[in-house]
Amino acid sequence: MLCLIILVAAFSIISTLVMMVMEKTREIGILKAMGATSKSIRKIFMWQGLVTGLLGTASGCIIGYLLCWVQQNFKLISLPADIYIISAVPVNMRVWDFICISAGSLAICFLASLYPANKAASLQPVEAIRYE
Amino acid sequence: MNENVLEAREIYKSYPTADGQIDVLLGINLAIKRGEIVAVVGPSGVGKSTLLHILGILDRPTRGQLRIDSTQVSSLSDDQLAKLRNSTVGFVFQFHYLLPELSALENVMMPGMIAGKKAEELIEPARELLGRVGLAERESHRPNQLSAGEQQRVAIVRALINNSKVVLADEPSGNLDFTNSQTLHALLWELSRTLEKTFVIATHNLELARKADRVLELRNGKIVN
Repeated sequence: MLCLIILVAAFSIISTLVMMVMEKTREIGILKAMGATSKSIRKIFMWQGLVTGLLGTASGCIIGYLLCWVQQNFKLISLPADIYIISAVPVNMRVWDFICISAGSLAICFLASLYPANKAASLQPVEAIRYE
Repeated sequence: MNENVLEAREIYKSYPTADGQIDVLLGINLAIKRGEIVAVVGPSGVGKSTLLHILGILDRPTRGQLRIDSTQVSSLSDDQLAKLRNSTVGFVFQFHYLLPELSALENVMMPGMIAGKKAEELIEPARELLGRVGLAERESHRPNQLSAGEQQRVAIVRALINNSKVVLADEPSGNLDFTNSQTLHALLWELSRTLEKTFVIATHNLELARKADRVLELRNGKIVN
């Protein structure tokens, strides 16, 4: 399940950034015509991917924490006690889990940004400027 | 000291297509001096833009030698070419190609920022250049809030911000009406003379070409005069 979520997230980041590279092709060409190096163009898209990842990870952690806290205190998701022994879905929040999942998410964002960033960096200025 | 800011020797450019190779430039030889205004004329599709792209190191020739400001460019890497382009060459395209998210002032400052300069050191020169082309009051406007003529004037000063030695203009007035074209031509000449810049202008406009110091006519992939 986690693997599937990671795959979907990685593909979402890749497709969003590839779309952005396509939308910004002419602007990339203009920057290159003004002397921007491939390295600096790559950096722009890597940053874009990482910022998206940071925002997503931060909001995921906050929403996850809030949902867990609500479940811990108000037991919104209940279980039939005669079947499961316990009356609500148990929650155990550990700082280490948050750290590991956040680091994993950021690593996925970094890896998912590599392909679109390289695609943007490898655009030839003349082709990029002519792009319609 | 070499007076030539641009020298091209035996420049060839071909494009492979599904139907075979298309030869666009067939042995271009030229030398352009500092401060000179050169017009490149010829019918559509003859290779004027291709020549300008090669002279501005936006594109590499299939073979031939190009020297810009005493630097032999054929052996340079893509990143070295980008840095040379940033410090030496300015471009003005037929369509302004300003960055839509940025104001006129920020667009003018952009080549300087790419060169690694701080915004604070670029604001004054950028304002001064915008003032020269009558756009001091429009510095905070985005490209879509400017007229076509104003957009092109911003594009011209953007090409000058890094103190570029050569400005390559590809049909700079091709998208403008008669009045705006006249204003733009006068501006190009005034900037060239006062700032002592070399301008290479690809144009269909014979009136513009006639005002140039030299006219190069491109025909069948070669310069014929």
